[in-house]
Amino acid sequence: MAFALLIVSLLLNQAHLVGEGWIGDFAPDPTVLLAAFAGLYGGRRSTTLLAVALGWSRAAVMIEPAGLTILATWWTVAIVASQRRSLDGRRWASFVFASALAGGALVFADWLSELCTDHSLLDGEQLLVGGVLAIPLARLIAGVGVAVRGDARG
Amino acid sequence: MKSGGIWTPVVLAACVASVAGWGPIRRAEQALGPMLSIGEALFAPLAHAPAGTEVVDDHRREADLAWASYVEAVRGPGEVCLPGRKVALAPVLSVATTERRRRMKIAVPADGVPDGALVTHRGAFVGLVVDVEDRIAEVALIGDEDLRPLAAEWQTAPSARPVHFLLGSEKGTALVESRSSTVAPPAGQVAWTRSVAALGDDLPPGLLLGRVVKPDEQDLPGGAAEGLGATRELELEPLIAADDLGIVTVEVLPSAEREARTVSALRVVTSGSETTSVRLDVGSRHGVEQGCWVVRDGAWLGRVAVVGWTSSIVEREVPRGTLLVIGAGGSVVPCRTEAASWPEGWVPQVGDRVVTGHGRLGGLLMGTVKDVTQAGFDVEPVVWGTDRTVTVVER
Repeated sequence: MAFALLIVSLLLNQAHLVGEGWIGDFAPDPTVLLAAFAGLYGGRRSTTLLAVALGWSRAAVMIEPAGLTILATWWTVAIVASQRRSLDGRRWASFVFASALAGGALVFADWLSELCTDHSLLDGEQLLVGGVLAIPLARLIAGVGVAVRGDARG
Repeated sequence: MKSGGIWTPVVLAACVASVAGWGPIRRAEQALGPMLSIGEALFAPLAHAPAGTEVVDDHRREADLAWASYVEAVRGPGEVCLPGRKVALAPVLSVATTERRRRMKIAVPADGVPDGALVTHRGAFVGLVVDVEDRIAEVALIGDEDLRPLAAEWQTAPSARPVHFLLGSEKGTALVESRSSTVAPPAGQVAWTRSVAALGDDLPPGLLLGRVVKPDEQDLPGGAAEGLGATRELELEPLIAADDLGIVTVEVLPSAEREARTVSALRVVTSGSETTSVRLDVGSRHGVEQGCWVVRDGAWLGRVAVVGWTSSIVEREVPRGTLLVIGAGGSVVPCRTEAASWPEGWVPQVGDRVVTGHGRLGGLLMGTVKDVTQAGFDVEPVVWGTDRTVTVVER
């Protein structure tokens, strides 16, 4: 799953970068959805691997120090994964909630990153647009998540 | 890899090393570079081409002329070298100073630079080569403890008797030693090298060394300065700040020719940002090294900052060192971006062209002056344009 997530993350981040050239701040940042997906449907014991896949691929596309991005993603995936037991992965609303949680965790990680290293990892508007996309895409993503994981309940 | 296992602390340590900018980790991070080729094939045709000015032939000619004039100035009034040698331009790669060492690294021809070769800039003494390894020469600058004593002199007036001395060093400070007169020089007296060929030292005479100063000089009441007594040790302050130099001249053997290696590369459009960092599809496997320049059609596009095996990162930030600013009237001013380096009464204007150069490629347009503040000016880099092909060239 981690390798598939790495490829998807690379492609989505590259598409995001191209989109940014055309629509600027309205280009949705895929990190919220990817982190929510990894947290909700990833194996409980593979949080580290999934965070490395997501963070490293994003850093490779955005040309940032991978360590910072991996730490931010790790924290985000771990926060979502901590709520997995209380969420039913088969319900689309669970994915929307997980995305909101991931968005909040990413904003906090970005704030912390800016505080400690003076380096911002995210654009607020792009993160919001990416997070809002969770609403129309939730059914589709939840379906994929259940198919990938089999039993998506806690 | 499972969380909670041995991998968690390993990943955590690698992340910290990456944030700290540790070279091996930053290079290893680029291993994902080749995997970007799938998305590149899919999305690059859809990429938005940024608006901006491409390099036009007028700017190329202008940059070439400015660079050629600057190179002439750097070479100084006459080529200073020993008989049987010649002078070559050498780009400055780095300058490092510690308490006892003042060193500069320059790129030189392979097997072409003898030990003790003289390094100058605009007719001023910069240092002597103390080590050459893999086409990089290490130069001991004035004040370095490994710089051999130099015969030098000052002369307060054309008719005055010159005062000879030996230039030594201690703890990174250049000292005036064994001077032939106890008479104090006037404040700011300039000193230069002296010929002692009869004693077997071939150092050319007349190279500017610096100003003779007295440490902790204090003004006395009434505006008079405390006299420089014979018992006081004098210091020499170099005229040239090594940190500011982009190129110098170095003595080389007549057969020495430096061929800067070049590599053709493509920019990965779906990675990085036009204005800050971009990714190239070549790495150390193709001969790219950190510090190489990325150029195209007479334009300087950036400097290779991180080199992976098959992918490298180019920083678009203007490097430190002297740049040439070409004004609207065609005037050329060599300076750094910091205001402290600007000539008195001169201020760059927004839109002035900023130029650098390369020994083999000639003048290269970097961009234009964007903002001018009291601290200095920012450079708006040349736009990358729609053509993805670039040349990576060794400095």
